[in-house]
This record gives sequence, structure tokens and C-alpha cells, in this order.
Amino acid sequence: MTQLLASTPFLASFKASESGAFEDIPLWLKEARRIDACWLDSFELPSFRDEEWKYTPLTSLWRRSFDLVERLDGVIPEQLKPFLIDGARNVLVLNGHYAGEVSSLPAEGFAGVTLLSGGAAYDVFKDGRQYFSAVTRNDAELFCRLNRQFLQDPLAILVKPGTTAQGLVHILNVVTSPGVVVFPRIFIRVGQGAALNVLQSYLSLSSLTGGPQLNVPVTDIVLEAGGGLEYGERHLQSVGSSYIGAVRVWQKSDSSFKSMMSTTGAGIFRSNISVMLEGAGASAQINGLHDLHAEAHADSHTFLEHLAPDTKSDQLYKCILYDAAHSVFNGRVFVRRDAQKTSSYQLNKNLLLSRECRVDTKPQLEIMADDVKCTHGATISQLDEEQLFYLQTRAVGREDSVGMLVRGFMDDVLSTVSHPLIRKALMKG
Amino acid sequence: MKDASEYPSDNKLTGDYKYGFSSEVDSDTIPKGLNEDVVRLISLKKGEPPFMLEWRLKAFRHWQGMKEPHWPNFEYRPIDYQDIRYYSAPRKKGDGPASLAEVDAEVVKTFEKLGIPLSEQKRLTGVAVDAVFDSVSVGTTHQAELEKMGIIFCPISEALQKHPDLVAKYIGTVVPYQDNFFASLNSAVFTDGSFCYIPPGVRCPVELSTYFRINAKETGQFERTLIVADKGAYVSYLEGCTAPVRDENQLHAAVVELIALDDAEIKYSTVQNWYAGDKEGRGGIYNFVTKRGKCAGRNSRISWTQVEAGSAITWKYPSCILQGDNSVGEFYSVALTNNRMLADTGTKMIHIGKNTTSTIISKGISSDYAHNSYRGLVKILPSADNARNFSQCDSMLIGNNCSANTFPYIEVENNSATTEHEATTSRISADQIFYLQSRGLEKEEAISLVINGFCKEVFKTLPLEFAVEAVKLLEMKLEGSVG
Repeated sequence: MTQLLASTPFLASFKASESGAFEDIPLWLKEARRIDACWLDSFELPSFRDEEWKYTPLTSLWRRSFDLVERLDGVIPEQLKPFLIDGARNVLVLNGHYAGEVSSLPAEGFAGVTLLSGGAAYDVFKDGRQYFSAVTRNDAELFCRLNRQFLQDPLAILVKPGTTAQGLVHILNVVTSPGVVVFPRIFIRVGQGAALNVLQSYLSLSSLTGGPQLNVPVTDIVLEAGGGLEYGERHLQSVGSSYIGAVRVWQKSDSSFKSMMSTTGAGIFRSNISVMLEGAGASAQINGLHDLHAEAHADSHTFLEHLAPDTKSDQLYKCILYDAAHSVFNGRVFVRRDAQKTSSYQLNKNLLLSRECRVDTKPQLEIMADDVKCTHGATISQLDEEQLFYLQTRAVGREDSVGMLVRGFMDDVLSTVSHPLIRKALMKG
Repeated sequence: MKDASEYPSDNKLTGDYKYGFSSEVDSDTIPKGLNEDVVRLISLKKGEPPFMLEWRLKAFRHWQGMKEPHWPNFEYRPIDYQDIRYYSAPRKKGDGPASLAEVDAEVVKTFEKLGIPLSEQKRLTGVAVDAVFDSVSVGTTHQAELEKMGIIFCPISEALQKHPDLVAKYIGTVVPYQDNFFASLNSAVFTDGSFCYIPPGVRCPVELSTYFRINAKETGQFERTLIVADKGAYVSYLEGCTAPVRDENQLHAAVVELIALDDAEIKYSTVQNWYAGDKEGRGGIYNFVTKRGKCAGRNSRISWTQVEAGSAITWKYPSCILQGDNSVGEFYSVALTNNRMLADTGTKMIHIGKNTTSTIISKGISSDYAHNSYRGLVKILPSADNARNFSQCDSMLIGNNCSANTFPYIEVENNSATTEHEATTSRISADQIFYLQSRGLEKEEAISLVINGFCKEVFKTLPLEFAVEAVKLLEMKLEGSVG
């Protein structure tokens, strides 16, 4: 029994609010959207048998309706202030719109870094059509297409070749109102031999406003030869909100990408990170932390595609579960025939701290080249009674002992972050 | 000591595929196609009790409403289920063989070619054999001796006549007729297989063995094996398979059910060497088998060991349902694919009872244009306090046109559980081979040494003769693969 997306309240709701709203989009995008619209109209909802959504059912989503909202006045609500980062270039995206007037990154950029929005950003997208229109093997295609169809205010960050941007660009994505859907879109291109640090914070303030929200961002990153990016994602979302986001990274030769995603989960939380190691010598490190309480859910799908020789990837995902939390990890490593001398390492560790929590993990290797070294591992366990006992014999109370061991478990992955501001922000949670 | 030369498939050691011969046997076949009448006819030919026909028909009706699954990591030419002969038996002389002497001489010769010691004097090998030729069981050795101990080991068709209550009590309890597409098909049309019952407290003194062979053209083989180890019983069971070389693909959709009651142990070993097709991937067996064991009782233990070296496509997941408290499930597998063979195999460990433990050791070897996937599920249900699992899946790639994939699913709903999974992929390196050769070993010996080391953990769980055979089988298959 299949149901069409078109027949759900979900799509109908923001489709209605969209009509005629984006007059200023370029012609090429209008064309692409016309094709996408047909695709969306005939899209069948994934069933519970669908491998991609097996552990993250979307049924509750289809029944809801969401609105796209217009640009708000550029006033930073008081509550947001604590989430801005001192010493970083803060860029505010409010309900899916770039709030330039309150962002501390000047439009003309800083030291070789340019920030573009509106029409200028669309031009960048047009130049990078192969990335903008790409659907990788790991993408939740529906949500990529929805993003392309309904994105309102794109951003592009360009780093000039050879520039090493010392500071941190902090992009704060905030949804303030209930019943809102947002489709943020960011394109980052790090030029040849250049380097950049970026942190994205996703914040849903439904605790203030009540009601469900949906965030469907797509972040595309292109690292030119020798380029480097340290990338962080901090998720502070409530159980009432949903997040289905994609990060896609294309790496040229000898580039390096390092990412750390930290989340406390959401009602539906799904992160798809795809890294295409296209150039020889490229390396990627993808780490993550799920720290889930109450009824929080978090699902991380990582995808590492080795397309060129001498590429290297390294993944560490750690999950801590309390209460009735549910964590999903799906890690895919794909080694193409040409990617000889590849080395790939993947580890998923889960710590279960309550009887009601649930973990589903699926580390996968798909290997077509023979001269490779690939390993993956997954463990699921509780705290070691002997370690707890030891701490207690040293006069540390049981609760504190648990806290210490949990912190140790998390530190392992948090300490992989090099940039001090990113680390500090992620540690604060 | 057993003489290895008397053991079933020792002559697998030489040449390409030594079992490619077919035998001119006068056989009793029915027309191709599948409908209710065919199901009734099979049941009638077998002289089955009415409950079995009822069950077959239920399965058939259910199967008609099912869709063929297409989720594995490979594609195959569609199977026309109306183009298969669902029953083919060596024609019986008179009313059927009362003893081995009455079995068609050609059949006996075929089994002798295969090395199966069917005749009396060869019983000394100490293995009780039930041989299944195309669709029916042609003779079971050692029966009398086993009977004295209360062990029932006979073709399932015979069990249905002599011990209908036992069969009725257990058949379909582990793999119900609605289970999956191929299991439902099997439930409707299975023609024979082995039945084995070990009474309480009895330790079966010999290794029981079934030998399967597909001989006739355009037939499918649908056998059903049911093994019950009552309280405190122990049995070790071996299974071997071959088929003649044919251009078309033949379907083999078997069902194996194991039931272990309190304190019982079942060890099930398979060396599968069905015809795998030629170098271009023409012909070969589709080996779509449902194998599942249920540790129904406390402290029971089921252990699967498989060496998969044949079949054009292997698609099976020998599984354990760990229902009884403290029960143990084990899965040891070596899957070798070469030429254009495809394999998507692994296991499922379902932990239900408290303190249940499972171990999975899987070794995949892939060469030429073959694709080898491990797919496994470890599921810990909320009731399975202190469940423990360890999984290790290693893959070896030989050459640059093959692939090795690992798809482990781990689902945990109980926080007192501990699971560990690890997987590695590597290759036989030219360096290792060179080193061994520089120490004076022949290239073949060097390869064999490396492969042996890779698979050691699995081979050591096989009964001795099988282990020797398995090693030789892999050596032979991989000859000339490492350049």
C-alpha cells in the first residue's frame, strides 16, 4: 500500500504558502524547480520496509502541516544572545532567512573570505550546478529536492586560494516560531591551499513558542586541492522539533576535511553526511556525538566514498543514551576500484544507561579495490561495574562516578576537535 | 581412523568441477509447472497423512499471494516458477526399495562416484548417511544401529508415515509456512529431506550426514530437514551438496529447522559445493535456503558451520533464535566466491532469553568477478538480560574486479546487553606470497597457507574429515587466482 506525498497535508501546507513568494529567483532555478515539482507530485512515501527509514519512521511528519515564513525584522531576540560566540564571526539565519543586519561577518567578508547572499549566492550556485543539483548515494533524495524547491535565502562562503582564515565563522540557524518549516542552504568553497573553520548551530526555540518545527538544511562543501576545513555542528533542538539535514563534501586532491557533529537529538533527527574523496591524497575525519535524554531520537547516516588512490578516512561516533532515547547509526564506507592504497577506519560506540533506551547500528563496508586496509567496529554496552566500583572505593559517590565515566567516554571524541572555539561550544552542549 | 578416501566428496580436490557428470537414471517425473494439483500429487506420491497435505495447501495458497523479494546485494535472472519440475525421483523397481540392494544400480554408482559410502561394507566410515537424489531420499545407512538407541534418522517422507505425531509437533515451528517467499514455496512442494530425532539424554555416537544431489534437468530441489534434539541430547550433523553441470540455472530452495530443548546441543555443518556456473557465469545453482535453529530450552546450544564454495548465487542466513535462558548460538562461515559467483550470506542471532550468548565468525573470500556480501542481524530484545554477542567478519579480496561487502545490523533494546562487532578487509598480498616462496614454498602451498590461516577459526569447528576437505576445496578453487 503506497501513498503519494502529494496527498499528505505535509506537502500541501507549505506549497500553499509558497505560491508566488519567490519572484526574484533566477530562471535556471525556476526550470529546475518545475522538474522537481513533477518528481515531488509522484513521490511515494517510504514504507516501514524502506531500508533508509527503517529505524526512523516519518509517519508522524506526513500528518503535520508546516508554513514557510517571510523575512522577519532584524532584531536579535534576547534569548539568542547566549548562543552567539564571542570572538567568532557570527552569521545569523533566522527562520531560514539571512539576517545580515545583525551578523558580525561583514558582507564584504574578511581577509579573503567572502559571504554572499541573495542573487549573488544564486550566481555562485549556478557556477557550481554540478554540486547544487547533485544527489549523492547517501542523500535522502526527497529532502534534497524539497530543499531545492523551497529554499528561500541561500548563502555562499568563498575562501580565496592560499588564504588561511584564522578565526571561526559561526552560522546560527534559529527557528523561532511554531509550525514553521525552513530550508537553509549554504555553499562553502575553500580555494586551493586555503583553510577555514566553520561552526553551524541549529537551535529550535519551540520551548519558548511551543509547537512542532521542521528544519531541512543542505550544506554543500567543496574543498579544492590542498584546501582544509574544520567543520562543527552543534544541535540544540527540542523533542517537539524535527531536523533532517544533509552535509555533502567534495574533496579534491590532498584536501582535508574534519568534522564533528554533536546533538542532543530531536523528535525526528536525521543527519546525512556524505564525503566524496575525489582527489588522490584527500583525507576526511568524521566524528559525532549523540547525547540523548528523555524521548530524544538521533539518526546519523555517514557515507565515505573513496574514489581516488591514497585517500584516507576516519570515523568515530559515540552515543550515550538515557531514559527512552533512541540512537541510530548507519555508516557506509564505499571503496571504488581506482581507490587503491585506501585506508579507512570506522568505529561506533554506544553506552546504554537505562532500560528503555534502544540502539540500532549498521556499519557497512562496500569494497571493490583489493589493495586497501578497511576496518570497522561497533560496540554496545553499559558502564563497567568494576570501574564504578573502583571509583567508589576511592570515595567518589556512585552518581559522580557515573558522571566521570560518561565524561571520559565523551571526551574521547570531543578532544578530536582542534579549533578551541568549536571545542568550547560543543562541550558546553 | 577414518580413511579420508572413503569420505563423501574427497575427489573435489582435483580439477574444475568434478561433480559435473549426470547420471542416466530412469526417473519418475511429473510435468513442469506448479498448481494445487501438483501439490496434491506430491503429497499423494509420498503417501502423506492428511494434515501434511492441508499444511502444504495452506502454504501454497499463501505463497501465491507473496511477492518475490529483491533486496539482496545482487541481481539474478528472473525465475519462472512454472518452468520447473517439482518432482523427480529415480524410478522404483516394484514397490520401492526395502533395502539398499533394490536401489537403482545407476544411482548407487552415482553416489559411489561422489564417494558416498552407501553400501554395507563402507559403513565403517562411521558416518550415517541419508542421500537425497533430486527429490527423494534413496537410502539411509546405519539406521538399525541408531534405532537401538532410540534415534530416528530417516527421510522425512518416511518419518511422516512412521512418526507423524513427531513431525506434526515440530514442523513449521521454527520456519512457519508464511515465513518468506522461498520457505513458503518449499513448504508447499518439498519432496524429501532428512528427519532426525534424538531422544532425551542420548548422545548420538556417529555423525549424521545428508548428501544432496540435483541430477535431472529442469528440476528444482526442495528438501526439508528437521532435526530435534530432546532434553540433554547431542547430535552433530553434516550436509554436503553437488549438482551436474547444466547451462540453465536451477533453483534450490531448501528449509532446515533445528530445535534444541533443555540442555540439548545441535552442531550443523555444511560443505556446499553446488555447481557454480562456468567462467562467464552461465548456469549454476541458485541456492536460496532458509536455515533456522531454535534454542527452545534452557542451556541449549546450536552451532552452524558452513563452507560455501559453490552455487551461482548463495543467498542464505542460517539463524538462531535464542529463546531459552542461557542458550548459546554460534555461526562460523567461510564463503568463497570466484568467477562470477554471487553471495549474500550471513546469520541472524535473535536474543530473547536471559544470559544468552552468540558468536559470529565470518570469513569471506572473493576473487575474479565475484561479489561477496556478509549480511547479519544481531537483535537483543528487551527480555534478554545480560545477552552477549561477539561478531567478527573478515573479508579477503583477490584481484581488482571483485567486491567484498559487509552489512551488519545490530539492534539492541536491553541495556544490560553487550555486543561487539568488528570487520576488516584486506588482501592476500604479493609480499606475503613472495616471502613464503623465498622460504622455499611452492606458490600453491603459500596461497594455501595464507588462506588456511585466514579461515582457521572456522575450519577448527568442522569435524576433522570435513576440515581437510574444506581446505582442499578452497585451494582448488583459488588455484591461479593470485598473480
